Amino acid sequence: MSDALRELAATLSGAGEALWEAGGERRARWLATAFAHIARADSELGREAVQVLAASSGLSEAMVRWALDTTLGPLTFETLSAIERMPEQPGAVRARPGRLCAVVLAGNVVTGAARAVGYPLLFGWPVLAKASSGDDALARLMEAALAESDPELADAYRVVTYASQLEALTAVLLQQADCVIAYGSDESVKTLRAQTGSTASFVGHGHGLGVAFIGRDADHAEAARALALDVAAYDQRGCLSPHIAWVERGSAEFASRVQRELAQLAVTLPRGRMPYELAGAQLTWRGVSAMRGELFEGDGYAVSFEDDGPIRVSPGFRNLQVLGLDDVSSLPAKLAPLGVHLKSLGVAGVRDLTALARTLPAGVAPRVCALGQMQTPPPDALHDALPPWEGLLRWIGV
Amino acid sequence: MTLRARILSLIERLAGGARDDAARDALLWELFEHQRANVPPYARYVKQRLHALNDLGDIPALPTDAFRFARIASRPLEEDVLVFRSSGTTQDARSSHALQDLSLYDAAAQAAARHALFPDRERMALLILAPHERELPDSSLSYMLSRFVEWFGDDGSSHVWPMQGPELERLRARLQHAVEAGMPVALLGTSFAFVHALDALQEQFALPAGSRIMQTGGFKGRSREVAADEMRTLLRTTFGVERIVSEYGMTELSSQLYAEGEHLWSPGWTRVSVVHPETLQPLPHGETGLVRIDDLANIDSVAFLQTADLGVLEAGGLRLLGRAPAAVARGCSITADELLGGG
Repeated sequence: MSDALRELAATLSGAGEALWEAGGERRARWLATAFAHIARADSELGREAVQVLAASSGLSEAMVRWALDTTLGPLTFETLSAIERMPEQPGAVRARPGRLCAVVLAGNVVTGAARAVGYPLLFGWPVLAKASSGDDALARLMEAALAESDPELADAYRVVTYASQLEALTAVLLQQADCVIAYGSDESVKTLRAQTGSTASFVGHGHGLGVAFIGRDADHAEAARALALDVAAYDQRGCLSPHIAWVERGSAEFASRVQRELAQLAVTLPRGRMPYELAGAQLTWRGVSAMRGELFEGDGYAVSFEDDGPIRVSPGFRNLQVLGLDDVSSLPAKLAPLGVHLKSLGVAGVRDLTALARTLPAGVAPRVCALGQMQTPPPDALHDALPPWEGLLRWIGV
Repeated sequence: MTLRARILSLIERLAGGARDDAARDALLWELFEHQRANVPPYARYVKQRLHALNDLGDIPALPTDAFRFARIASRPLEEDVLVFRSSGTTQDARSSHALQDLSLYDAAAQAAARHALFPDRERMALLILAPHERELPDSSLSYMLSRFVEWFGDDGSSHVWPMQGPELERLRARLQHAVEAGMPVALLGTSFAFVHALDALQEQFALPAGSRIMQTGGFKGRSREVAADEMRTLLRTTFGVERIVSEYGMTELSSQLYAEGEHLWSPGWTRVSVVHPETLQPLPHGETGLVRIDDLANIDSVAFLQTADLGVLEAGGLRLLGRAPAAVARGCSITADELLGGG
């Protein structure tokens, strides 16, 4: 098995030359065509994508459709080619990519593979993606779509999966790579970083969550509607998903509004099945919420409200904690304990996002955006405070 | 006669393993009314969670996690005589269970242990593989094991801790002495302490007939993990003991459950059920759900507790299937424990 993996890595590396010579525009077109194919609701691949992704992720088909539209839809030729041209280094030219980029995928966001795999390919790296065996659906669909989109470039991308007992193979895989991009728990990222060769670049995306802030001037009806979408997206299982919302001079009324919006979304974007094992965590979370403050719950969603209190990360699956906050000036101190884990800060009723960003404490560098956009960062957005090409570019000074 | 006195009387009456569910349930009803009136966080919880009140299963059971976030007590702070805290790496992550009177705790612990662990012997040598209560004064396990030494131990009893260096050698000497003298011993401790002992001793003992082992708790990253069946085999092989009893307890409870096989025996003053995790409806025998325990001995906090443990009720009793993992297929999303640095 180790030899087969080394052989596969060598084959992919061999395809790197053609990928690089194809140029940025052709690679952008190759990727955009494949993404459009998967996202098309009326294509055979598009229908298969919805079914397969819903089955493997546990999300509802409507939720998967939404995820594909919002993730793959913006990855157009124009956008991708613009990103490919974006990085510049005065007095330097781009070096050719290394032998191979190994991408280790996490299993919780069904569309995670799109950018994770797509960007290294866009910048000319052959990619070997490692997915967990029950969660490789989009990575596999991309294999098929990319082969159809531009068969000459298709040899630069493969997916591997193997049983957890064979995890030792990951070390073999990583040793073949000059760049490693890893998604997963902090613990997994730490392990993968240790297994990566000393000369390879490593970009880790560990644990994370999102939070929201609703300023005193916000339109509560609009903010509740937008926040509910951020909570419902991916059933609150992603690392950008909001778990806590602070409302300046807030009351239970806002929590009740969010609950009503979640009730609407339960119809249009139904929640998927909840693993039995997680229902216990949900029960505990809701129970403590009911004890500490007010709990507004429905079938498949809940919103708690407390005037003040410790933050309590929910088990996901559309359970949101709303807390009151006297003044926006208190927000940085509330966010400080979240540190690097805070990946997304959705806001409403704040006129100057830049000024708010400047108040954030050391180590806290989320993407700051309007509510309703927390789960749909634009293609060129920073991810974990890093540009999309982090780890993928080296420069030759001239 | 006060409610406390009547509960104490029931515990004493059921100490031998007898059951009187009608008497237990009557006291549980009374205790519910007492606690919803006198434990403010529980009153708030009941107000939001109570939808009907036709049988005991309708009484809202408080998640054990609630003890991490609020003082769950019917009496004021100044009356506390002891506060048990769960293990954890940060203060925020630890449950606190305040006790204002130890009489029910002691009576329940003594009666259950007498029935499940020491039905055949008034006293014997107890070797405790856990910290003494002096070292961990807020550990309910250390408190209970220290009481066991008082109630069931003879002069040969002692704590052996930690499982290394001179203490390990002392354990070895105690075991050898028991073998040579033909005096049975009871080894009681946490699962991870036994793993450390098994790894360090590297020899086998044929402890005299009548010897027994009580293990409790999980591993919590403090030793390698060993599957339950393998653990039993290792304990039998290493110590030559047939009787191995598992104890199930928690900081938030005042009573303990015991298993000699795969089913837990619950004392007659507790009421154990399994509920559906989303609807909270009681599940019939054979269906897996979350374990709920109503414990009459929890008189000064809340008697109706919802655990996060998965279990199934079978003819032999409750079969525990372990803690419901909070991190199933979560990938890069974070869990509360991870954020708090506990877990």
